[in-house]
Amino acid sequence: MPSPGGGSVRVEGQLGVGSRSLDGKLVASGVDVAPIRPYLPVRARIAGKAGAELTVKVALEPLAVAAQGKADLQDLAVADGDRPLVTAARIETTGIDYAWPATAKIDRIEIQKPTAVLERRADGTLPLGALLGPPGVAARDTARQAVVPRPNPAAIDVVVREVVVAGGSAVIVDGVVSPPARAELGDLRLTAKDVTWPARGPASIQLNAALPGGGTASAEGASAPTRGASI
Amino acid sequence: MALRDVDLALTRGYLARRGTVAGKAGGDFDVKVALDPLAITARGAASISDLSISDGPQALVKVPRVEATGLVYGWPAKVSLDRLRAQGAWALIERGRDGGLTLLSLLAPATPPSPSATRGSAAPSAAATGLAPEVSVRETLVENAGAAIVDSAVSPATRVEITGARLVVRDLTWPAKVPPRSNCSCRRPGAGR
Repeated sequence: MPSPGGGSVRVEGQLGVGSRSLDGKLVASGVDVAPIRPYLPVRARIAGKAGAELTVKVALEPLAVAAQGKADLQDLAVADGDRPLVTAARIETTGIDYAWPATAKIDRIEIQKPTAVLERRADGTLPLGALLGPPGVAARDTARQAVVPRPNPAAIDVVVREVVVAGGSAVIVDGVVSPPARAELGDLRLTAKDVTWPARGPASIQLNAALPGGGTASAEGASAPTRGASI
Repeated sequence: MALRDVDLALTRGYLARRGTVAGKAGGDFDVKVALDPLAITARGAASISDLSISDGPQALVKVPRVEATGLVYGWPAKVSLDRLRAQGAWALIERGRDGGLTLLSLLAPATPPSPSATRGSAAPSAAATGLAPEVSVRETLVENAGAAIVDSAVSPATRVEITGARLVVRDLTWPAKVPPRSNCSCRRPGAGR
């Protein structure tokens, strides 16, 4: 069956007694992720094409959805309006074990060729940080518009055994100084293990990057949910 | 965290001084980062190779190697060093015709770019953002240093070369909190020590 924005979703399976459950297999490719934006706990505009091969179990009363398998996301863009601040050519996720509504254990996420613009504006604000905050009415709009409460998104609980970033690049722009300082990092490689969201345990991190002018930076450490990171 | 061959050109926007700093930096640090409130601390050792401070195309200070040990950094601009060692440093110490020292003029704040150059941006310089560095060094050791001392305020101008200088400064602070203690010895060709 075609999906809105392109792509296809195919579900094969068996209905349970009284059509109150489904055991099946979901195969999706090239599905536009735009329709799921309202469910994501971020203010940014997210774009991309998703694919998946999942074994799915659905029960209606009470509602329960479980899925196992793998998924991918191509041409991801996290944008501030029309300006992408984070992109990735491809994200592959394997060893997914998902349970409704927002609990997932993932064995491995590989992010291929990501790019990021890490900017600090002249007033000290971080555009990317604001985009990754929870959705709501933008501060500049509150003075002119009545605040319309949005439904709270489901509480997310994600555990990932390993996250690998390969072939990444980043542009760092600091507008606090004049003229703005700018540095381009290349060949970014990151491996993080035991990542949890919300953070509740230490995640180990290894990072390597090429610096402008031929230098290199490497870091190895751990993040702690209450103390920050030690590198 | 390990840094290797970091181009010091990256720091120009933050130093916001008239002189141009060049060189390659490296170091090994234990870093701790807390996000709320933001706090960054780092401990370790650092070095700079081929450091130069230039006024346009002319280098006024050149140091092949600078090593800092016992480095403790605290966000945003507090640094203390146990020992700073510079080897083979050379400086052009020149008094201009107006009586001013050229080297000191490099420490003057950089002239902000014109509004047209920044497309109307009102971004302040680092100095204007209140980022006041606080630096302390227990011991600074400068070995095998040389200098050309040029005085253009007299006619004819005089020039003196010194070589093999050794300078030890203890308890150096910036901004100055206590008077540093220093000891310097040097050679002048044909004029002893």
